Amino acid sequence: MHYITVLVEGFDPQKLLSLCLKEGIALWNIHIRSDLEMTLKLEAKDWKKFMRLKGNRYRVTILSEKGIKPLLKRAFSNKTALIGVALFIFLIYFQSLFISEIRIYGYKSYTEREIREKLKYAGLYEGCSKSIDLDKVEIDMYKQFEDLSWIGIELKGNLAEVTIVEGTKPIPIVDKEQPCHIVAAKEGYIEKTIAREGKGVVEKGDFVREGDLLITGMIPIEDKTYTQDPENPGYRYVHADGEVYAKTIYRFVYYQEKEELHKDLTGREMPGFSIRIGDLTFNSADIFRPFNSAIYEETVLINTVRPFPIEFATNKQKEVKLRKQTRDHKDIEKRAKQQLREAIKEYIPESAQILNNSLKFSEEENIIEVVIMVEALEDIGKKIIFKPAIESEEGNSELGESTE
Amino acid sequence: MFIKDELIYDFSINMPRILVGGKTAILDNVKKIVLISNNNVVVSCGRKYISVTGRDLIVRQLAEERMLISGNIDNIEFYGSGE
Repeated sequence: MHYITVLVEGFDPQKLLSLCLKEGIALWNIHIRSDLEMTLKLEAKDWKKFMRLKGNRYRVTILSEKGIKPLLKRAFSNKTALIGVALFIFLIYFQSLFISEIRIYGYKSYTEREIREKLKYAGLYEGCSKSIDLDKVEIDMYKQFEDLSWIGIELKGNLAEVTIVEGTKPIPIVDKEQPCHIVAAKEGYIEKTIAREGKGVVEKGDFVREGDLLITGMIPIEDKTYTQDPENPGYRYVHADGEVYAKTIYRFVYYQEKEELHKDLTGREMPGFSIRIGDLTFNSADIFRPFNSAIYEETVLINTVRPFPIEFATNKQKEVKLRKQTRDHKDIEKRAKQQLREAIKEYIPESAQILNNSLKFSEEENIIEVVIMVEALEDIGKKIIFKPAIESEEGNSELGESTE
Repeated sequence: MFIKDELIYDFSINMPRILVGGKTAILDNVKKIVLISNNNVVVSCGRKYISVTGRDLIVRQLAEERMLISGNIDNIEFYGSGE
């Protein structure tokens, strides 16, 4: 819309108004300044008709013009500003062509730096073009990380969000042709031995330490045809295979607070706001701190990264009264059970079967010590290759002798 | 209101019709402006005239036989006999 505000000077202004009414010219904001002067607003499309109606009886002066058309006219008349705006738009557009930030989620054993380096190698880095083939980057990442279960790259404007899911570390594959033993990977009480190849050397109920032999790959040759040297029996070397289940004990120690801190709201609060432009931050809550103890709540209203890193948030300081309360046993036990579940999830392999668990609480001055014992049934076998070099030479010679 | 009265009210295009609320008055069936000033607006509605008297009167809109006046309205008068 395009509106023109004019000053009309002349006798009998009501006559002009009546004529406009008759001709269908819509008028707004008619201010009668005096008997001879009035100001009014009309649409630009009626301008010609209005000028014809006023004839020579009135003098009309344009006071201002408002609307999109005059705004554009003014804007286009200023070439420097126009170039500035065009340059600004171009810069914004140009910036939007590149990835400005990469956020990585879901890593556990790898460091963020490591992942960033690999991503850079795959072609995704801060400052690279957005037209990059993300599928190719994903495939490259799978090639670079052997135990990567899944990777997803999502572009949100100039932000690239990389989510990774790490798989379990691949079990080193032992060459099937090579002879090997199965030894204990951790200590425990043997429950069951299934030796598919090789010979089990432990019985149910035996206690084994880490590194103890469980299934041997060296099987003595029992040949009844020929007499053998009892001190030097011949051996057959096999690739030991099988499972050895043992009861393993895990012990975890956690600590809990004896007293719990309660925050009771008093109802008094202090509103405030915070502005962050780049590295500069202003927060009214840093200056005005009317309460001794308060909780701080923030609601982010504006948070942009590009073209300018601006954040605007409103906040509230709510006054609280601090109160210490001794925790009851039920609560402590509930928390301990939670800690138990966390410990199982974190430290005990998924394949293990939990047989039993126990919690032991011992009170100290200000804290409660929680000792968690978990009994699990798991396969503790680990293959290790051995080289029967010296023994085989001896064995061979003996075998040679015995066959002769 | 009977339907006859309502029809007369709606279709009497040469009679004054005014709606006033607070500081605003809407005048309908405005055919001609007889007098206009800061304190007084007199319009012809065909058969009768309406006079709105007050202080700091401004005509906010004037289009399609309708006039919207705002300001401190003190007095509204109808006169002229077009019976």
